[in-house]
Amino acid sequence: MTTTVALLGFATALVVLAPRAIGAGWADRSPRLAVAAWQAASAGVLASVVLAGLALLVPAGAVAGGLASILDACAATIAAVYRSPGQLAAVLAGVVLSGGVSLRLGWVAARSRLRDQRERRRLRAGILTGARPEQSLGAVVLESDHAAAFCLPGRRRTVVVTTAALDTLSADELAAVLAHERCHLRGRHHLAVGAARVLDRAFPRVPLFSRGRAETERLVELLADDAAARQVNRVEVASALVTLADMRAPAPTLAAAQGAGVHRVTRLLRPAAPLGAVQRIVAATATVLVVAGPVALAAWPLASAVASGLCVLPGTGWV
Amino acid sequence: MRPFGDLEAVVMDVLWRRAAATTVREVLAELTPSRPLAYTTVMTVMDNLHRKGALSREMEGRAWRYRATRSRAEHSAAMLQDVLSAAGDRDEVLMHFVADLDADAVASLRTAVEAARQAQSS
Repeated sequence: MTTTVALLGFATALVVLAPRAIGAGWADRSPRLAVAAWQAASAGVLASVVLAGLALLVPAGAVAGGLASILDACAATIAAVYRSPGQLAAVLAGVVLSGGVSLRLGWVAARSRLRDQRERRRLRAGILTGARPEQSLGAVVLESDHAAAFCLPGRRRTVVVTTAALDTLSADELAAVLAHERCHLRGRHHLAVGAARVLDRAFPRVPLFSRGRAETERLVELLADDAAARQVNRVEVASALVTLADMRAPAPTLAAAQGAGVHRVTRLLRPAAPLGAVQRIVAATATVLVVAGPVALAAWPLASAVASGLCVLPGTGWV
Repeated sequence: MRPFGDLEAVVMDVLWRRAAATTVREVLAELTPSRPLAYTTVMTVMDNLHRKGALSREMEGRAWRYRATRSRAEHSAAMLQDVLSAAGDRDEVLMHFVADLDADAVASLRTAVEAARQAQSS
């Protein structure tokens, strides 16, 4: 019971504090670390909640004896349920927390994956049937008067550029765009973005997950911009962004999106110093602790039992 | 605009390859070697495509003859336009190199880019 309360407390603290800690302004200076931090915070919350549920179901001492004593403990728990009404409530809460969260997540993840695969297949069929692969660019060229460049991740990874984009971009700008897209594909950014979207979709009312989704989407773009800046030149990446934005059909842009676009270009033109070594180590440590924390909390009663020598060895029975 | 479903794409592919107006039976005959389907299945798919506006048809003798309303290239172009401008869920499956900038922002950022380029080359 104490373990459950501690884990739920940990999850609550994470939900409240993580967005502030990660959104504190350092993220843009090290987008890769920030993406990892968002993922760790989300994983930490999920692990805490699921483990909190499990802690209600299995008495802590049972885990030491391996599977047999877990089954023993399980039987004991079930037997106990019929004796005390308080126990029944705890078991129900445990099942809802651990099983409910896992099932919901698995269900939404499976559905999102199926839908994404289907949409990608249809997009390929619909858009890429007439496109020609261009070996020298490492991209597929699409006949269109709409200047655009994008990549399709997945099993058949493709970078796509339209003929209008080829006509509009200078050689350096084009190199920057291709480097940006290849960074997305190489880094499998769609997996990070996809995971954040699944979480947000599965538990839509958790601000940590909706912030995490928006930030991950934004940060992977900065990450790819930085990779392109290293390979080509930061000014050319910025220039390509402006050139392609200029070619787009004028559409009403939201103020927030506009701000993000301007920020992305100015960040390339006036880069901030990357995070210092100490700050990086602090952030990386926090990232690891956030996931390791709930596991340690859940394992604590077990560890202390072993340390105090009270733990019964496997095979000698568990009582 | 929705992309075509799997069967719809197969049928559209046949109609795009045959420029002439085509009956259900002719589509079926063309598909049978690679993909045996029931006549009614193909008929339903083509009827749906007609309802969605992808096919036009005219009665000839006792059978409808179907024709694609847009060429393959026109279709691809329209779909590309749709996908890249869409706020729909299809922008989730691709990663688009784009920033939202209005005309004023483009103008001022263009100046900033040129200034940075000057500074870099000097």
